[in-house]
Amino acid sequence: MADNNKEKMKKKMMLEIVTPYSHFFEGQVTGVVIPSLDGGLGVLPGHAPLVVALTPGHLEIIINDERRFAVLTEGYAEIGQHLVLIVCNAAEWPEDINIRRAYDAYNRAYARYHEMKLNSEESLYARHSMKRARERMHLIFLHGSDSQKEQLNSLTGGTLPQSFDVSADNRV
Amino acid sequence: MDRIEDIKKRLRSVNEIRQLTRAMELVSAAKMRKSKIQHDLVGPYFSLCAESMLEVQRHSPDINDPFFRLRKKDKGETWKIGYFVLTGDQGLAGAYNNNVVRITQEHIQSKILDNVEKGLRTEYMLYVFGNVGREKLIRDGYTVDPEFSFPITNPTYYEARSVANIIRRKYLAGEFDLVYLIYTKMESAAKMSPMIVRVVPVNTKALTDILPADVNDAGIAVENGATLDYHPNPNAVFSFLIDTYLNAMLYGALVEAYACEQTARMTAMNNATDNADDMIKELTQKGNRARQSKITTELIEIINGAEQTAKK
Repeated sequence: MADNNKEKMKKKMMLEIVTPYSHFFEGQVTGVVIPSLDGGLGVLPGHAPLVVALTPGHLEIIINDERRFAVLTEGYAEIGQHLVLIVCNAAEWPEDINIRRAYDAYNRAYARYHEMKLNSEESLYARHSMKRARERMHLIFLHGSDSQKEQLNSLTGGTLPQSFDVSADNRV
Repeated sequence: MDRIEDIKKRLRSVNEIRQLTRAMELVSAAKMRKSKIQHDLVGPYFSLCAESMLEVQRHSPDINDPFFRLRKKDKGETWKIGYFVLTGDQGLAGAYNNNVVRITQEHIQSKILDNVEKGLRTEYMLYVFGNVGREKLIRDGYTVDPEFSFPITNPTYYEARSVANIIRRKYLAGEFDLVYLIYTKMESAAKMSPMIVRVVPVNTKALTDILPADVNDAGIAVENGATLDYHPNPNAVFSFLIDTYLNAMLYGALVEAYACEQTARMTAMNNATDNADDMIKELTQKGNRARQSKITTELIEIINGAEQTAKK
């Protein structure tokens, strides 16, 4: 048993997440799933060096058998054998998300997106806002507490906006 | 000897000014503490971003991204330079605003001189944060974009991002060949110095300079000898890196400049309060002396008068 634990201890890597407003996370993890431009990218200790661009989405942190979820927005991740470094514009745990704000932000951006000319800079900007707000709501939908889910349900009426991709227009 | 009424009047006004400077000192001390916390929080983000840029450039020297390449100019062509200058919205902060304005002017002049020697022309545009610096630069006859106006107080990441967008758009459109950021850096609690950083094209040497010395080895994800991969492709990663880098640069500079401004103001106001204290002490002494000499004169007059009546 002791050996088994030791084995587990060995197979860990450092995860560090920094945002402009905080040092969001720092600690040893067993694995992590990063929201890359073409979907979730699972990383285990000993991964080959890689730099990944991030799109707004869900981050999954695995520590032993425990999983934690968070939402990330645009940024990048540097992956090394023993260290994963994530630098992004914002990171939030489900309990820190302001559901009302995300919902309002989505609607505001949605209205702006449909006002603007297609593919203009403003419309791309609005689309990214929509994406960020949508991912926040989705995280609550999947991993929020019961009261948060209730609040989300009462706002959206039970249906979330469809997922969409913003990776093609990343220069915003 | 001054009249005692005059001295009292001055004492009163010095006292009032002292109250004012003392209040300002306390206000900026509170603001400084707040901005220091913000500054400490942005520290790791800012330096990790700069460090990643360095690392990427070291591992992939043949990057073909426009943000890494310095444009070449032939004789007779024009260098277009954009300056983003961070000054304060208010004065009364010692030499803080003047220092920034001074090095801006020096830098512009030396650039123009340099280019003239090489047979190149120079065009520049100043984008100034904060009213004090903007007004001074306009008064001195420099070209300042009149429409560019961002508050410097309580900087947010959102603001930094909109400014970064302006830089990126203008750089890609060819309106800028070089972009400099001029702000005040806090070297220690007591020492602040204005500095100039080239934001784009990315300048590795300047980046090394602004990083704290101990960061260079910390947290490097790539072991020696290994090659660095990019997912999904180098271009996508670079555009994100550049985004984050520009945002971080601007936000870091905004926060640092704001913290510096508050520190400078606090120090200046602290000095002013101390000076007022000295002055009050001096004036009180003077006032006492004047009162005493007045009493003495009155006494002499009374005694003389009494003697006169006694003689009669």
